[in-house]
Amino acid sequence: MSLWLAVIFGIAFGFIMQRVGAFEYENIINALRLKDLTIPKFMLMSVAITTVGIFSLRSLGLVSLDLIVYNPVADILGGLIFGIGFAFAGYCPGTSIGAMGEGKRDAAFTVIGGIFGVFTYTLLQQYTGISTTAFDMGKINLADLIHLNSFSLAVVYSIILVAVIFLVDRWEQNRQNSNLKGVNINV
Amino acid sequence: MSSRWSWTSSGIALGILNIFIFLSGNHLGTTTAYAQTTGYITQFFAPQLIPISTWTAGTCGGSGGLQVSWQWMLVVGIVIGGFVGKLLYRLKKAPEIPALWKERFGNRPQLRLVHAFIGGFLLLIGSRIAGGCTSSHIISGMSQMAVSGMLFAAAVFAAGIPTALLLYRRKAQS
Repeated sequence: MSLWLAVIFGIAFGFIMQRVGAFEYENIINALRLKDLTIPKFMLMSVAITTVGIFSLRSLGLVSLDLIVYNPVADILGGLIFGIGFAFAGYCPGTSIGAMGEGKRDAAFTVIGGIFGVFTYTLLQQYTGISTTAFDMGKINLADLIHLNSFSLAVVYSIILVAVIFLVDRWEQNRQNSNLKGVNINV
Repeated sequence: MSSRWSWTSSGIALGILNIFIFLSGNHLGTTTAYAQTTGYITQFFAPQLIPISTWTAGTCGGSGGLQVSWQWMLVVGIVIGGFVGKLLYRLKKAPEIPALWKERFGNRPQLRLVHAFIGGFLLLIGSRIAGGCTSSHIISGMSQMAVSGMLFAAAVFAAGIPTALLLYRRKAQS
């Protein structure tokens, strides 16, 4: 039952990402080139909504958190390597899978590259014993750092996110307008 | 492209979907599915190379042994979701090479596949080091106000932006 629910959630997740254009190489690359921030706005918007939702449900005891351990070395190193890969592929691990479902051949190669990446990482881990666990700082979120009750903090956090999204959006629109003006003058 | 949803409605839709996922007691993520798939492949071809305990330890396994997990089925759903969206909106077949890439690097399909492969390789190395990807660290993690998710997101863009700008820098005029 739970596994079928996973398929349904996956279909909905894939469908939404497809509709917003997250499976398009162009949209990811143009986000990284700061030319079209549709996808980052979409992601942060979903985060703002989910945060208020789950922290409300959590105060009713209906939802429990499942945080990934905070490890500054692993998060920064992993994130930097991920970022370089992101710019080469134009997909992330999830969107490459969906884009492969759409029949994009390059996305399938990103998935295959990913499998080789996991394989290489695991071999290195197995035979060299390299590990970042020494830097694990525990499963912490902002509520552990800021002494405010977590629901109020979640509301403030979401408001700040939405404000940032709309400021970014305004900035993009202004830039677009001034670009248009520039074109008119040149013509 | 008029059939696209705006970032506002898509963001709200994903936000609500994610609340239901949390309510079901699960969490978004795709890295685990990659690790499990790799685990299956390795076990099939070379069971001695990497002991099964390596696959089941840490972020990839959890309780007992390699198994088709919730996240693996989620990934199956993502494939179907992409396919259904394409059928439903009768999208025409995507060009073999993304137009933007072609404009910059020329009509070289094989080089595009090499870039895509290298990209995927680095994406998953990074994900395994950091213990998560865009879905788990950013969409799911940042929704829980996780410090790890915010730091990961900042690092992704700190490397991704200069790399993309470098790949797409204007060719020197000759």
